This record gives sequence, structure tokens and C-alpha cells, in this order.
Amino acid sequence: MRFSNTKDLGTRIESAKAARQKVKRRLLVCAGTGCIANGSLEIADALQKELDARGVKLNVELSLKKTGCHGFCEHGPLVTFHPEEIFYQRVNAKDAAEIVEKTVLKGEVIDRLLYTDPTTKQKVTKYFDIPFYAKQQRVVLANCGQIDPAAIDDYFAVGGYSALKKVLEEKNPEGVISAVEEAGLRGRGGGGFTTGKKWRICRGQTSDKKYLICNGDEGDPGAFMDRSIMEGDPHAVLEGMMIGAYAIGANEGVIYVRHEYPLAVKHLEKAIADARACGILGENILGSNFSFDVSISRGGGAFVCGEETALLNSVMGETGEPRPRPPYPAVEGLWGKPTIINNVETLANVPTIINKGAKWFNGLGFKNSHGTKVFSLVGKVRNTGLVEVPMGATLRDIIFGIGGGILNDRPFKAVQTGGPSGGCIPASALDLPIDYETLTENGSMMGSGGMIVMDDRTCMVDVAKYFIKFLMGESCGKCVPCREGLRQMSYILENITEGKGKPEDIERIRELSVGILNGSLCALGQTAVNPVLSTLKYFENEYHAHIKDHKCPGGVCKPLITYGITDKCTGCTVCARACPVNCISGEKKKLHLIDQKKCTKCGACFSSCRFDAIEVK
Amino acid sequence: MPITCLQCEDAACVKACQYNALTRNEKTGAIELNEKKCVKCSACLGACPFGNVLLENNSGRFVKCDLCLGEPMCAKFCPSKTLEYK
Amino acid sequence: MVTITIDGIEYEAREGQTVLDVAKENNIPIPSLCHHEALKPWGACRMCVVELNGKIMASCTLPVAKDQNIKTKSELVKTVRKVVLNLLLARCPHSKTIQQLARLYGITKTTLKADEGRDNCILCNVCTRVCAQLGSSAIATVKRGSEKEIGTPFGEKPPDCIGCLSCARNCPTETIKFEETDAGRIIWNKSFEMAECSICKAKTVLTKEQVVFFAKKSGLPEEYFAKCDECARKETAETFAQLVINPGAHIMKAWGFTFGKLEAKAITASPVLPQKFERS
Repeated sequence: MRFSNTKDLGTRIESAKAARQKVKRRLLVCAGTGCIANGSLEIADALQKELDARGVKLNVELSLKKTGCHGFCEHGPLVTFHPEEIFYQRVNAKDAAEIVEKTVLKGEVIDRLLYTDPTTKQKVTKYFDIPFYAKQQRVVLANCGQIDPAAIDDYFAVGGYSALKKVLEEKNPEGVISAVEEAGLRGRGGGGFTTGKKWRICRGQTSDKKYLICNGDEGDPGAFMDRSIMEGDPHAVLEGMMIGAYAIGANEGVIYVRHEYPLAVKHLEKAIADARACGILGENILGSNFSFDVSISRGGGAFVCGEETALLNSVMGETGEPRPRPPYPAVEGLWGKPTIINNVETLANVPTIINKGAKWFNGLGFKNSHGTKVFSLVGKVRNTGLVEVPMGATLRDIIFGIGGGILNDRPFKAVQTGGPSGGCIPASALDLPIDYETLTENGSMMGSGGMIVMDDRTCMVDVAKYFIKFLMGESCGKCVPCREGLRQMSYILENITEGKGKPEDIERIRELSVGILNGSLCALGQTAVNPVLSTLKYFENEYHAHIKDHKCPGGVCKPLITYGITDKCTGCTVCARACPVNCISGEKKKLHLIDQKKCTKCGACFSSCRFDAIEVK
Repeated sequence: MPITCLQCEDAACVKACQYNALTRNEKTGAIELNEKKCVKCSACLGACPFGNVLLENNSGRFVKCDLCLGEPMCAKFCPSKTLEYK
Repeated sequence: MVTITIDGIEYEAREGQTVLDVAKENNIPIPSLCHHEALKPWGACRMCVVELNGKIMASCTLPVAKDQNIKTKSELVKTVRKVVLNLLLARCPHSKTIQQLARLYGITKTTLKADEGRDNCILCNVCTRVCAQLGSSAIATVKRGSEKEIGTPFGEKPPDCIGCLSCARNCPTETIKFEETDAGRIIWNKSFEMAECSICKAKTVLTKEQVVFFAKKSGLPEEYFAKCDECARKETAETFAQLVINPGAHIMKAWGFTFGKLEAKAITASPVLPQKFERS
């Protein structure tokens, strides 16, 4: 099925859509990386076997599909049944028979597999009734979890490649750029540069060759939105790339994927092969003058290679080190040619902008940030996972609405946004709208959309130390401020958390920060001090508590804390048995005591106590 | 017979230098060595077929005749005026 | 030509120049460590930072542009340079180069945790870049971040090193050690023998590996390079003597060099070299 023109493609899209509508029942098994790790492939096999055993044939009306990630991996493996939108979580292969017997054949709901709302303690049957999904607006993630990413027909069936068709039929490159500009799409990888403007700069370059690179080097710990998109909707990324390439006049594309994402690579490879076979990729796409092909380049997983010039070096086989800009890649990039580097999520937004129109996209969002943004919500929240909300939603919407609030009802302390080099935002800023500028003004950043929620048992100095150490390890080591500065910064923070901090350390940190922030060569160093500066800004008292009082208010820094047993103790002996160094003594049903000399502060007693009788001081 | 740099038109030393340290002074016609750009790799020394690039042993500097910026001292001070510079 | 302003004074600059170039031409002091005139700007040491529209930029990589207003002495510039020097002094407290530069900024002792027992390498990469530009790429940086160092492949004797000593001779902190005698050299733990002159058998100033490297690169025979300058000059002298006696003869027999127009007055000797000798 090779389409020689856009009309053929249009016919195919329509027939695929019609075919999808005929499917009355759809059993979808999540086959994202998280669910696969929890055995979802076995579930899919078991479901197939159970269907076979009962002589149920998959046909036009019933389908069983493996989809991409739903973003609610914590509750995986996930199985959904449509059109009823029944949402089963933490499914096991053993449940397959029951699912087929009851749900597929009789349409009954299996209570046991349903999701329980942690707030109301009620079982929720339907996908979009679950607060985690109900409060999201899925644009980029719309197809993830709904279609089989390995089937190009599934993509056609949800209107896939109609944006490409529209572009080739109706728009010239200038028109595409104007539309993306008018939509107000900004880079989703962190920088927030206006995509259309970037494309225009590249379009203006005269060169025999131009490249478009999709940056899939998602290095932020805990972030997996790009992985989910590449795994769950690879054609959307390809379509975005094609439209971008058409706009800037590139005929070669590279998808840079980190080595840790084998499934993403597999699905992208399949998508590229299928698109080539259809004549959507390659020479004279759909009979037009536009030729474009894509290859995959696998990165070694260095955080710094997400920085565009380091990424370019990595693709060219050089050491993954950034180089100074200017020249910007849009002028002088891969192999010295004008190159556009866009993040996965940015590109995945492009087909929607073309399909639904720039006005629609521009209408979503807040001030100068338009559209939606996917966040990776992790940490001390009830519901963790990928959430997509319109720009301008508040942190409270996400953490307490979608996230369901803080785990164990503890008080909220801070949220760190934007990945390791983002800042920590305190409770006072919970109601601020999330957009590029507001986050930056508050000492953090949009970044690629990491969101780590922290409760009162988090030590902010420890958090700053953790991120500085991460960035120190991931610094490429090329420029002095980042390489040496982060190392010195981590020494200082290490000392503070060990109770060896000196009052002048705070001044020293501020001084170093000015040098690192202003002096570093690339964005890694320039933003690396955010975790320190933001915690100093909002939680300076914690630094003082460590330095002056030798106390860790969060109860985290081991050298500064002691565990004690309060009179809440019932003498159940659980803690004494949990203690690995046998330093807890006491008779049954009587108050226990910790021998502070022997205590290694491992916290085993603390986590084992069911009566909240262990206190940290 | 003493031989000094011939200031070859298509000079081997210039071609051998990977650092743009040897360039022709358009005024004097001499090939001059820019010490700031010289990395002391000896490529020019090896390339000169006439043995006219020298390594000064004491200083570690590479030297070649640059016609003293257009006024060769050897000719100027030659007592018998055997050496002439035209 | 463009006009840029540095510290309130206007300067003429050529397109393609960097701010550091212009500053050097006009004797405006901007310190730098990783910059080397022979190499492409690297932008790593951050000593040469200047302020442009409130932003700190490395002047070595900043191309001049119309109406740029550069500040080299602002408080921010000074602060950043001081931090950099403080950091470098902590990294290599015994480096004379760093000590001297730090003193210019009023720093005599680092306020940070000083590394004792580390060498004076500041990772300016001049050595690796010089080596790469020559075409041997025998050394490179290894590891990442604060563990980064200059090294040879797998820490062994570098197979591609030709013993030219360029790395050591250009090291701003004189960290790369080597031993040198008339007979040979040792650098990066690798021993080199000096090549013998193909005529008089005396030791030349090139290592055997250099001779092989230059020969391979140029396509010329090894004997061409393995020659002491005395023998080379002697040979040239003999050639010229013959030319005077017998003008027009094709000499330079050994490697087939020919002189085009040979006049007694203006000798323009142009040995025709294979194209391979071209700068890469």
C-alpha cells in the first residue's frame, strides 16, 4: 500500500476510521515499559489464550490490542475495555480467564480489579471517572494507550497523517511556520524558545542540506513523557518531524533516543519502516517534491547530551560536550549545516496544531505559554504518573487534583519542577499558574516537565545536595564553573548535612552560584544552581538549623538526628525485632528504649512502628 | 656556501603547518613564523627540503629567516658587502 | 568592518573576528587560559568572560556584531572571573600560572576546599586540541564531569603519539611532563628515539615516529624528513653550485623536484609537493 498522492492517503485514513468505528468491543492491554516490566505481555498472551479456549474469534467487532503507556504506571499492568471504558489496574495473568469470561463475554465489571479512589475510598469503574484522568486534558498523549503503536493503520484510524496531507495539499512552508508561530508553540524540552521562530531562522538559511533532529534524550530522573510518546504514538512524532522538515526545507531527520529506551527505538523503527513502505517517508513523499527520511541515533544516556550542541556532537560521533553558541544550530548544526533540534513533545504537538488550527492551540494555556504540557508527577503524592494539563493550570490542580494530595495525608512542603536543575517551590506558590515565565520568576523552570512532590519529612538541604551531586556527575566537565563549581558546592552541602557546616558557607554558596550561573558554558551549568538557590530562597532557615543548631528539621540527615521512643509506645516489640543492630530494649507491653550509642540511624524502627511512637529529633 | 630561507613560492613549510602559523608577509615577500600560533610540533622543520627551519636549542623556539621584516641584518652589516639584498 | 564598543571606547573590527581578537589587537587586557591563537576557540576556561547586555559571555567565542557594547571591567565580570580563579586555585593550588593570575584579582589563597596531590592540569584541552589538529589525536579527555582528565587510550602508552611534544610545550600550566636527551624522549610513558639523518647518520631533531608520520601524511619518502639541517643545507648548496655551473639542469635528483624558471638573480625554488600535504 504505497500512496502515490495525498488523495490516496486521504481515502486510506477515511477507511481506517470507518473500520475503527465498526469495532464494537475493544480489549486494550497496556504494553508500555512500566506495564511490560510488571508482566503485561503475559497478560496479553493469557487473554488471547482464554479467548481461543472459548472459541471467541477476534474479528471486525472485537479486538485485542497492545497499546502504549497510559501514564498511570504505578497502578499497572493496566487493561481497559471499551466502549464501556472499564479500567482494570494491577492485573495479573491469572485474571485473564475472569476478564474474558465476565467482562468480554457478559459485559460484567470485576470489582476486584477496579481502581479505588484514595480520597473517597470508592471503586471507580470508568477510565475517565478516575480523578487522575478526569482532570487532565490529553492532547499530546491522546493516542497513548488508545492505539497499537506498532500499527500504522491504528494511527490512520485516529486521523493520523491527515495533518501531513493538509500541509502538502494546502500549505507552503511559510504557511506552516506561520501556523506554528501563531499557535504560540514553545519548546517543550526546557528552553521554551518559540518553535515557529526557530524554524523561521533555519528556513532563512541557504544551504544545500538541512537537518531536523528530534531530541529524545530524556535525561531527567523520573521523567518519562518523551519515552511514552515515542513508545505509544511514534507516528505522531514522525508526522511532526515531517511537517517541521517541510517547513524548514530539510530532507534528512535524525531521532536521537537514549540507549535506555529500547522499546521506543523498536516502535520508532517499525513506524519508520511502515511509513517508508507507504510512501509517507522517503523520496517525493506522496508524489510531491518533498523528500524526507529519518534515521535513529542512539545516545549513551549522558544527561548533558540533551543539550542541543552536545547532542549534535554525540550524533557526529564526537564527545558529548556542548559548544558555545552562537553559532546556533539553526545556522550551523549537524555536519556544519543548518539544523533544527526539537523535543519529542514539541514535535508531537505539531500535527494537532495543523489539524485543529493555530487558534485552537493558542486558545489553550496562559499568557505566553500555549497548549498543554505533560508533567511527570512523582514523589510523595497519592497518584504518580504522566499528567497532561493545559498551561496555566496551578500546581495545586496537579498535586491535589490529579495527584490526589500528599501520601499519608502529611503536609505538603515543596515541589521541585523542571528536572534536576529546576528549583523547589514552596506551599505559598501552590496557586500560581504553571507557565514558562512564572516558574522562572519563582526560581524554578518548566524544564522537560519533571515534578517531584515533597512532604514535611524532606530535608531541603539534602534535596539540594542530591541534585547538585547528580548534576556534578552529569556535568561534561568542559567548563570550569560547572565542573569545579558543582564539585565545591557539593563539598559544602555535604558538610552542612553532616553537621560540619560553617556560618560563612551560605555566603560561599551564593558567591559560587553567581559564578556558576553566569559563567557556565551551557544550560546545564547555568541552571544547575537552581535547586540550591531556590531552597536558600524559601527554606534558608533549614540551612541555619543544620549549621547553627546541628539539627535537621526534615529528620533526614543522619548525623544530625536521633531516634527516640515516645510514650505512645505500646511495647509491641516490632521495632526491637526490626532493629538490625539490636539497640532497642524493653519488655513486652512496656515502653521501649533506644541505645543511642549503638544506634546506626537506619530508620528501620521508624518505618516499622505502627503507633507513630518513634520520633526523630 | 651559507644557505638561508628561499621564501619558496609554494612553500613546503607553510603547507605542513596545521596551525596557520606560517604566512607570507605580502610586503616583504618573506614567510614569517607567528610565534603565538606556533605549537612547536616540528612539522615545518621536517618539511623544509633545505633545512632552513631551525629549532633553537636553548629556548625551544622555532626560527626561520623572515628577511628581518624587509631589511635583512645580514646584508646590512656585511662588512665586505658580499651579501646584498635586492 | 563593524564598530563595537569596549568599555566605552569604540573600536573597528572585522567581520568574523571575536571580541577577544579585537581586545588583543587593541591591548585591552582580557585574561584567558584555554585560548590558543593556533586553535579554534574553545570557550571552556571562562576566564575571558565579558558582559554584553547584562549577560556574561566568553569573549573568545563571541563574534563581533554591529553596535555591541562590551564591558570587560564590570562587577559581574570581576565576580565571575574571581569565582573561576578561586575554583582553579582550589583545583591546583600549586600552579604558578594560576597563582599569578589569581593575584591579579586579589586572591592569594582559595576559600574553597583545595585539592592536594592533584597535578596542575586545568583541563583547558590545549594539549588534546593541538594533538588533534596535527592529525594524531593520541590523547583525549577521559571520564566525565569532575572526574575528567587528560589521558591516553586505556591509560596505556599512546599508540598514535609521535613524540612531537606539542602537548607539553603548549600546556599553560606546564603540567605535561617529558624527558628529553639528544638521543630520545619520553612522554606519556612512551619512549622515542630520534631519527638518524639519512646522510650523515647523526641524530636529527625529529623522532622516528615523527618522520614516519610526516612521510605518511605528505606521501614523501621517509628519507626526506630524516635529515639533519646541516646535511639538508649542504645538499641544497651543492645543488645550487651545480645549477650555476649547469643552469637548466634538472637536479634535486633524489625526489624529482624541478625548478621551473631558474635565473641567476632571483631564485624561486618551489618544490612541488603532493596535494596530501595540504592543511586539513
